[in-house]
Amino acid sequence: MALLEIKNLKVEFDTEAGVNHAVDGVSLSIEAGKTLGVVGESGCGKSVTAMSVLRLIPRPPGRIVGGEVLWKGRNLLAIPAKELPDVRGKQIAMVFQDPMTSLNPVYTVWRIFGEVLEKQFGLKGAAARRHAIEALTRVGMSEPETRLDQYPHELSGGMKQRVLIALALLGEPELLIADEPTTALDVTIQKQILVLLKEIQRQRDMAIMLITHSLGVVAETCDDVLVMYAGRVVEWCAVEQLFASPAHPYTEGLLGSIPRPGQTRETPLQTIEGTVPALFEVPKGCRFADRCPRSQERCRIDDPQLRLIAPGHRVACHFPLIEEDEQ
Amino acid sequence: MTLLDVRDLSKHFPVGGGFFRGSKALVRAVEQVSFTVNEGETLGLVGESGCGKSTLGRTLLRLEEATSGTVRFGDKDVLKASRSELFALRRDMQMVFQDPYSSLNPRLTVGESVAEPLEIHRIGSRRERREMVRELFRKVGLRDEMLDRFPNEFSGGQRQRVGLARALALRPRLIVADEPVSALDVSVQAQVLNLMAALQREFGLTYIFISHDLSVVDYISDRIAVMYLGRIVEIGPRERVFRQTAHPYSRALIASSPIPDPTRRGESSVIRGEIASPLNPPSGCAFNPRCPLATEQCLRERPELLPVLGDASHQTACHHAPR
Repeated sequence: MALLEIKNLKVEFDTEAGVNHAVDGVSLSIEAGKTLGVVGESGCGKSVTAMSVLRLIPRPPGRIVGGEVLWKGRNLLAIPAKELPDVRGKQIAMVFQDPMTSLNPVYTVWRIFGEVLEKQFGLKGAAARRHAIEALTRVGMSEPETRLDQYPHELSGGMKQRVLIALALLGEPELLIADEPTTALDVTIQKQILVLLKEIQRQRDMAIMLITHSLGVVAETCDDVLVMYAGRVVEWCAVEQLFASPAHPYTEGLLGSIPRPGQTRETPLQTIEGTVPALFEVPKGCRFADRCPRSQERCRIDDPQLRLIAPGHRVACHFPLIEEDEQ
Repeated sequence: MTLLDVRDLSKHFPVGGGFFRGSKALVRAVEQVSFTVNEGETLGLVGESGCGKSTLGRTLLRLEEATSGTVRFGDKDVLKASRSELFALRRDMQMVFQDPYSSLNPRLTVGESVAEPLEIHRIGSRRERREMVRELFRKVGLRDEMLDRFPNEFSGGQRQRVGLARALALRPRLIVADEPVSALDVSVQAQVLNLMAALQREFGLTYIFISHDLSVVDYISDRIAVMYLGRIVEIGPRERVFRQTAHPYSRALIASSPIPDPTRRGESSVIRGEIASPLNPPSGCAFNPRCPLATEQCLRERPELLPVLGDASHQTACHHAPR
């Protein structure tokens, strides 16, 4: 059984322009100890999917209108709210992109740790402080005792992200959901944080759901990858399959738009014409049809469903780039 | 031909203190930077946050006043130019910013924003300007009917196209582009990079392209300068800097940049530590606390920017580089 399985998740947001179908039928699963990358451009629904797992969608304006989030077989969308704290931060923890806004600026690091340790684990005083120092040491923080008495603004972006990861790991979660955890960081610090996450994963057999816009980060850290477009999963496979033989034309377009080592401006980058459709009305056919170089009449009428075309390789496209396996 | 010649340029900011207390400390954001840019080429300027690359870009155009040094643009001395000389120089030197949204006036239509530099420089009649703006819109791939809309109606990629149209209005020779594609999604980023390359070919533009993203800089640049704590640590033709890298910091940057190829996973190593505070840079080589090659000499002596293997086109500031 998968550790986490999402089935046909649907999330809507009320906006001035109408109801936005931000996530419209997303399914995925993560095995223990594995990393699933969720990749896509702004507004594709990747963060909304991640936040839905722990029911963190602000309501109003948002609401989860359908689907299941099965955590070890138990539907988190259906459990009573008072049972959520047993899961949140303990079995499943989350790390966000911007450490500055996730850390209260008027609290010292120690006070932030102290609150979590007391509320969630009943630890106080010297024992709590020892625990916090250990937690910071584990995430490679330099001078952890000094850091504990500093305020978030006194820490660099990389150190703040280490604090957040240390906080997330306090409950020894089995799944860490990391939403663009390194996007705000410099590349050398990004590398440090990604290596740290993989190390912790190995030590604890922890699963990671990594939300990112960077295909480079996916290639370096993930086992499996899910490509999202306009609220839907368009492709889902092992990371090697995605880069060696992308099946969805959108995936191919994304891969072609990143400059490759040695490519110069004499060779124009591949682009995807047009823009992402507004998600206010659910289109009849494929959401990518208007921008797709392979689209045919069928794509505008018939909404493609995610289907298996090779072992472990799923795609939602009528005319994928790779041939279907003879099975 | 050399278009821009920068010699020993420094920009220091006083920090802390107060009006009566005087300033406490000096941030040496740009320190003794020298380089040249040839007409029609792209110089990529890379480095991590706080390395001084944006300040350098702004100082070149005198959006910040330099502390010392010289900047020659063609036969003109930019830093000594009077107000009226500077006004004339601005026709030739323009800037494009990361977020064109914050650099476009929200109360002006984008057409008015693009026409503004033409108005300020009293170029053409109102009707002629309108026609020039139409032409510029076509050049950057925006439709005519978008002229009368406001910036908030545009996507990030479209706003960057407006930013480029505005920068191009005066037909400049040099454009300093500060992280022009960093806020854009990859597919849109590719569109803007292709557009910048096409505009460069059409107008013979010279670019200084500032970015933290090595893959983008590698793609767009002829030459690359790597900055660390206010100084250039390596400069040279892109394939030399990327493929025969001379400075350990450049190597660390390249090794840290994620490669979109899972078969090459695990090839690179992690670099320790973080960039030091520019308020209190390490003595000797500023990179020494993080450098795997650091020796006693590196703690003591600051390395000069010198040719690699006797070739003046490729220079680095490292005691351990092959000369």
